[in-house]
Amino acid sequence: MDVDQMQVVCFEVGGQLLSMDVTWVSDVHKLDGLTPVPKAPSIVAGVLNLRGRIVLALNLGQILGGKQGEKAASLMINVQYLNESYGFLVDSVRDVVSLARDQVQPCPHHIDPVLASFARGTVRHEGRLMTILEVDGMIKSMLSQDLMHCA
Amino acid sequence: MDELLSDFIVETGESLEQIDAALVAFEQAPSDQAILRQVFRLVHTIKGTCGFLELPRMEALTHAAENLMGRYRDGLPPTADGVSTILHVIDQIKAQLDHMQAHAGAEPAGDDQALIDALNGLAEGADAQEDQFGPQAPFDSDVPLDPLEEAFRNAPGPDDALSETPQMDTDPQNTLTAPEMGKPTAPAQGAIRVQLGVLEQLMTMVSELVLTRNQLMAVSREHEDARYHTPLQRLCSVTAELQDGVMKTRMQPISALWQKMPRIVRDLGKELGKQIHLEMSGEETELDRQVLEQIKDPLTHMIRNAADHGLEPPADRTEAGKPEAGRIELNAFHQGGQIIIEIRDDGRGLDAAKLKQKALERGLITPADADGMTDSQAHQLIFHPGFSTAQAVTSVSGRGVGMDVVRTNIEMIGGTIDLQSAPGEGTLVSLNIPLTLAIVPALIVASHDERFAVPQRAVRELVRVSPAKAVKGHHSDAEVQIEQVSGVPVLQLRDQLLPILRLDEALGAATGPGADGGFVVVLEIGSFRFGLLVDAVFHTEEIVVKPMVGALKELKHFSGTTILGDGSVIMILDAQGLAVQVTQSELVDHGATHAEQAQDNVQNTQIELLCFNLDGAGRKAVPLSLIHRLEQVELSKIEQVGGRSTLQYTERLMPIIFLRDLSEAERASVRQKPLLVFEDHGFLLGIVVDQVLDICLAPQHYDLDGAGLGYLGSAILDGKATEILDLAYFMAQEHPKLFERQGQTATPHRQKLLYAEDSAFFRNMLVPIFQSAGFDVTVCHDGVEAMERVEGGERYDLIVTDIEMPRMDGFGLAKSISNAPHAAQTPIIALTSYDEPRARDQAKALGMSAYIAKNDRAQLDDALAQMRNRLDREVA
Repeated sequence: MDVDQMQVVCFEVGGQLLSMDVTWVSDVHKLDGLTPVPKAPSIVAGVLNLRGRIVLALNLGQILGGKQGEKAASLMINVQYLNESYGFLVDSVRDVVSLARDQVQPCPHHIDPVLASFARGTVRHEGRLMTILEVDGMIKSMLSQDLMHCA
Repeated sequence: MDELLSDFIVETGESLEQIDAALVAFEQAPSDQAILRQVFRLVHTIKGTCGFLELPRMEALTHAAENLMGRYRDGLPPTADGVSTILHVIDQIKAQLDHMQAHAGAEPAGDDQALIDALNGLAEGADAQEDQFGPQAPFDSDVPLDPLEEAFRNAPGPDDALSETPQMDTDPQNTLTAPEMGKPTAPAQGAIRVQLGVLEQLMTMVSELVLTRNQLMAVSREHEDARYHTPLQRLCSVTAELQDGVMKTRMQPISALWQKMPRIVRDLGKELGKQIHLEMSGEETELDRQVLEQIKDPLTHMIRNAADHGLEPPADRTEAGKPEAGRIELNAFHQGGQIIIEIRDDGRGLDAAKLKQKALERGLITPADADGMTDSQAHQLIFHPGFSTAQAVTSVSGRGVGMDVVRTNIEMIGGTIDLQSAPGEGTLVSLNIPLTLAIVPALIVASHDERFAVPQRAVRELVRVSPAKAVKGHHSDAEVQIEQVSGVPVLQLRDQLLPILRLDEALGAATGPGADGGFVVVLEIGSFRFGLLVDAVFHTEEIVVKPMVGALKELKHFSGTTILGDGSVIMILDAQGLAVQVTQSELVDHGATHAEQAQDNVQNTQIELLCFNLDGAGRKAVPLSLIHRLEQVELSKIEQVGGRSTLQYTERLMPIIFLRDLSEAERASVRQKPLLVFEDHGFLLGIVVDQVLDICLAPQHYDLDGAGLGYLGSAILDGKATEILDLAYFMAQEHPKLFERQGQTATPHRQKLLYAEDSAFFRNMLVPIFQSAGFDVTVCHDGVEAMERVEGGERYDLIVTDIEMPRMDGFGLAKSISNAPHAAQTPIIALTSYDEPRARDQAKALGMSAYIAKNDRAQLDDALAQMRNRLDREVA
């Protein structure tokens, strides 16, 4: 693959157009059989079984500052990180697109600092601005928030 | 072939593959101690095993190789010659193994003197004389067959054709490697070795299958096609069976591993000239196959260590006053979500000073380290790589790699290893193996339609409870229901008041005061019992415990997750984590259970006080152990009989005491108030209080001055002044007969009792008890005072003494009393707040008649009654 190109999966959460590097993604599937985890931080949507693996489903919408109580996310993007499976709840998944790296612009400085910590940049896609998320940074950030809430 | 032997051949083969690779890496990086240690351990293991299996040729060879590697490990620079010599040794062992595989485990005849000499030469720093062995074949194939082998080959029988086959089929010049092709002599045991990865894969696939089946079922339900019905049903049962089978493949009782131990121990004993008894218990404890595999070597190592280093030679044992035969105990059990494996020997124990000295000599620690080390820290030194405790290197376990290997292996599977040792008494090594890999039976329960698994090991019983109705006085036994004490739910289960934790509340899912109906799962952690209220109880199921997702490890009330048969994920409740929620809540319920706990488990016998509140009169407290029951009572039910308040209670009349004046309106109200019920020798007494507050541990200091009637004194409990109720006063008021009766019905003269106790609180609490049991009590404030009285010639019928006292403790008192001629026969009862077996033994050794926890009222009463009876008989 061309080093100047990157492939990203585009998806929507709470009206925002986002994307992440496709190499992280192991699965996209319909949300089914989610078990809520009582007392877990609200960012944890629950756990579910994906082919014998326990997946921790995370409310992506919430960490992105989305309004709560919106219609339930119906799809999950599954990633592997440090030997554990995580799933991000998203509203819809679009195409996989190829982007030239030089298309990517840095994020504006005044975006949410949490988001800024794992946003790789923005790019204009089909006329809309799309933020590219850094998967590992995002999980790390979510987990550190997790611990904060649990303590 | 011997199963032990065939295992050895297969495993050694595997180990050798690793050594090959490791040695080559070592040659390239001779400074890498980690590789060297790995190789060393492997060779060591082979050597050790050869010793047990009586394979002298291979043992001699590996011993020499290990020796050389030991030198390298200790700093001799490795040479290419050395490494290639060791590689030759490996090849040689491989060839010998192949030979054994093909010849029913017989070692090829001959020896490897040339190689051994070369190894020893290298170890001495001399050059290996390559040509002594280099060009040779691994060993001479024209060595005469040993008699056993010959006999085997010539023996007619069913094996005949088989064992001949390879000879015919292959090049006769290459008899050693030929049998590999067909492995015809491998016995059919009905078992095969399967890679764990394959099993795991199988497990995953079965889960998938279950999931798919469920989807199919859902589809078929929608379409209602009868044609699908039968095949689907079949699919269901087959899938279930398959799942069951696959899950079972993972579990094995630990006896699978232990059955090899007696032989090993026997052989060890022979070799070391020691008599060793091996005792095993908990053989049925099931372990995950993977775990079992991992602990096999560590366990063997530890047994070797125990036999070799731990147990003394028979002569030394006799000298130390121990039986000539040493004991090694193996014990396995489940505890607190872990599997504990204990290896105990009754040998000489670890000598901390020697360990330190050795570590100093080896440069593992500095003299400053050694000085600052406690004994138990010093014991940990044996886990250090390159540490050996044996004075002489023996072929059994002498190089100190054992414990190093043990720890590495145990920690690899997330376990811990703990070591306790007392000089002269022996050593106890316990392995804590996590359960995360294991399968446990669990009870599936539900709360608010969410299912949870409760590990069966904590579940004691299930109680169905009916929804709360208006409680009238006391409930009937037929209908069990949750009651409220000071706003917290409790359940009267037989004679126990059980704190209830509502699962939905514990998990933060409660929406208002939910229904009290459902099921109570009675859980037991150690000796603490509590009830978990759930909406529904389903079935028990063998669940595969999956560790908690990393991010959620903080959630203490879950111990993991599991995938149920239908593919859904549920959380496994951690009984211990839930118990914390009950014990931390500041309310009365856990106290009642604490009292139970204290009685069940006298290890922790601190006095507890039940604190309650009287409106307008402040906080009061009463020793919890005196309380018979806690009830709720409607004040209007309390009747006035002859100017006294009484309540019909369990078909008897119970006098009721109000600790404060109540207005008419209050007396007539239907409001419920907590009622503390006391019982002494069949006499009942009820005390109405306003709120039950808490259970507190009795403080050290009491202020006994200026206490009003009915109070012993006051103390600071939970930072607030609290008056302690003098129950004996109320008992005496309401039941004067209780005290009279005891005085009269007993012998004409009351028995004399000497009571030594330094705590004013206990003096006040217990003296009335002694009196009510019919004794005249003389009180002393410590052991010396009591001794002076006895030595001064005073005679007593019974002496009761506290153990912990200033100046002279209870044991000292007992000792000096036994020296006073007129008092030596006086029975002595020891009372204690700290129960520990050692003190108990000491009390027994001193001839004390009883050893009783201070808060164990029942036992004290029994002991006093017994004592009285005995004294009465003696008088008669």
